[in-house]
Amino acid sequence: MRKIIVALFVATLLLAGEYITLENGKVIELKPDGTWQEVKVVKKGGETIAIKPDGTWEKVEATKVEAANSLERAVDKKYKDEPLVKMLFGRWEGDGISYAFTKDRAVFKKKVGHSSKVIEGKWIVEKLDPKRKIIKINIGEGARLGFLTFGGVIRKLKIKDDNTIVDITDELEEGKSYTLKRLR
Amino acid sequence: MKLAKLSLAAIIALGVSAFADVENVKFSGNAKLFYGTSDQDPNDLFDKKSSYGQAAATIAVSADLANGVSGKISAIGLSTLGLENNLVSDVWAGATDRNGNFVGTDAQWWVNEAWLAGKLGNTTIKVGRQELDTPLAFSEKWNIAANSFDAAVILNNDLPDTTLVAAWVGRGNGAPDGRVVYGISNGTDPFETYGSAIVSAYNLDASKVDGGAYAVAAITKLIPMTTAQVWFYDVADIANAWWVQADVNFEDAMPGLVAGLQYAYIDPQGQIDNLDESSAWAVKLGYNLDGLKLAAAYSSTDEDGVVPIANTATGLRGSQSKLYTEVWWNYGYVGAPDTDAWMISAGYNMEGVADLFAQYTSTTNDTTNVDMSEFTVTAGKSFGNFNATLAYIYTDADDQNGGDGYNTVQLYLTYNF
Repeated sequence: MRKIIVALFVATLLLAGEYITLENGKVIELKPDGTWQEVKVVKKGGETIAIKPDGTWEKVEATKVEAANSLERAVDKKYKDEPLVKMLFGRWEGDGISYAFTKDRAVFKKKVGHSSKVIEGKWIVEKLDPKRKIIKINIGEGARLGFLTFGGVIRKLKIKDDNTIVDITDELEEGKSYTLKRLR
Repeated sequence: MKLAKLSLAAIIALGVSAFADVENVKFSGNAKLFYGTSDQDPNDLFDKKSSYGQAAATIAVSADLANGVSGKISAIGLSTLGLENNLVSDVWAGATDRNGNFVGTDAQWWVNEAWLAGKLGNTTIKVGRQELDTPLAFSEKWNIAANSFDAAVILNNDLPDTTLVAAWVGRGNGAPDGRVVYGISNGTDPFETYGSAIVSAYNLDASKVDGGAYAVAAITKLIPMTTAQVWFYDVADIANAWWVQADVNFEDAMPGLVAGLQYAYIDPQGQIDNLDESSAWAVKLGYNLDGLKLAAAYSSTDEDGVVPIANTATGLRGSQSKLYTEVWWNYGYVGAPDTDAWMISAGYNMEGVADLFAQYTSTTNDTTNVDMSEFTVTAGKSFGNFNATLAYIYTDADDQNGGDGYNTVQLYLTYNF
């Protein structure tokens, strides 16, 4: 798997030219002198522009950044084979909140007032903390441009045991966490 | 309000460009269309005169910054989409501005969240405009727009299985007209000093309210199978209040069985100091297993009280209550003084078909002789990120529709992106 990822990395690097997207979503420019620097990539009309730390900017071919993004997708897939992440597969339900995970798709549903917030689509693991057993996931993302992501939700789940996870995402926004049980 | 006058693009640009070491910046939001109609005399269901509808769109930008700092900026817009020309005669939220002028049919928008949060050890500090969820001061999310607060909240987790909370609430946009939020016209500021909504509800001088509100709380899971919470509020010159609650999950003894106990006490101060203290208690028993949720609850409020046991952020009349017996739609009865209420409910997630829910609530009030009963059935279905919920409500209240029962049908459409 690691070889495949490295091969993908190299292939994509060639495709992407001097711009690549790192695993954490940041875009960097590989400079001719062998050094690199982080850039911000923004869309202006139909053009893609890289803004550099020194305040200068230049137009880049969107395909190069997009190719870099595809590398990121490939890198993110590796988490799906982690035992901790595999424990998420299945259906979970808590007080007004539920998840359903397969390897490729996820459904997040949360009761909000008299209706429900539902996000469904592909999911990726943004960050994995095996020590604290916390998985940061991104469900239903519509698009990504560097560290900018559009649509979907980011949730933080703590694995308690085979049948229990704790959603700690809303500890900051609502001051509470949700305990979810695996549905049989 | 200066903040409301900033363009959305400018706010987003501020939110993005101000952060140098950003892990993730997410743009998300939702679009909603809510519609309701009733057959209160002399109208029939779906008559324009007895119908209300509105659309809302929310766009939010949240960011994880360096060193555990995060932030969020969110703006919400309301519009009737011209429904008032053919289908409806009222709106869900933002009906009147703070001066009492009807602005419901105006297109309006405001920044409903704009906060930064940082973590220092086991302590989290969150400052700015935010939604709150505390027993007596909270954002009511049943409506198409929720009220929010200008506040600072500190959460500490140094004690095992315990969260200590300290909060200061300066202002809020909760409206005392039963529509949750004030409307905006010509850039007027819908946020006012916290507590003004209560004073306005008693026709007292809201301009004399200052100082906001303070709250401290402890939420602990140290007691086996139990989540216990104690809240104390000091709403400057308005009231002191306590809320105590214990929720027990008998997971080990009998999986699925849950129970709860609540006690609340409000002691009016300042301009409403002459009012008697209010108190209430409630109990709940429930059973949750594999998509099935059953609950039964009973509550009783003190006969001498005046201030209802309900959300202090949205005034008093029609405010939602956190008491276990709260109805699905007709807010304002359960928490009223001298009220006994009981509630039963059942919910079932029929996988792949719909989320089904039914609730019956009955209240009796010996002081006002106003009794109310409500029966609600809802069905919710999701299609990808789109959720549709249909509700039927039968209301029989002595102070509504001449004492005759009537029907209400509501449709909630929400698309999340």
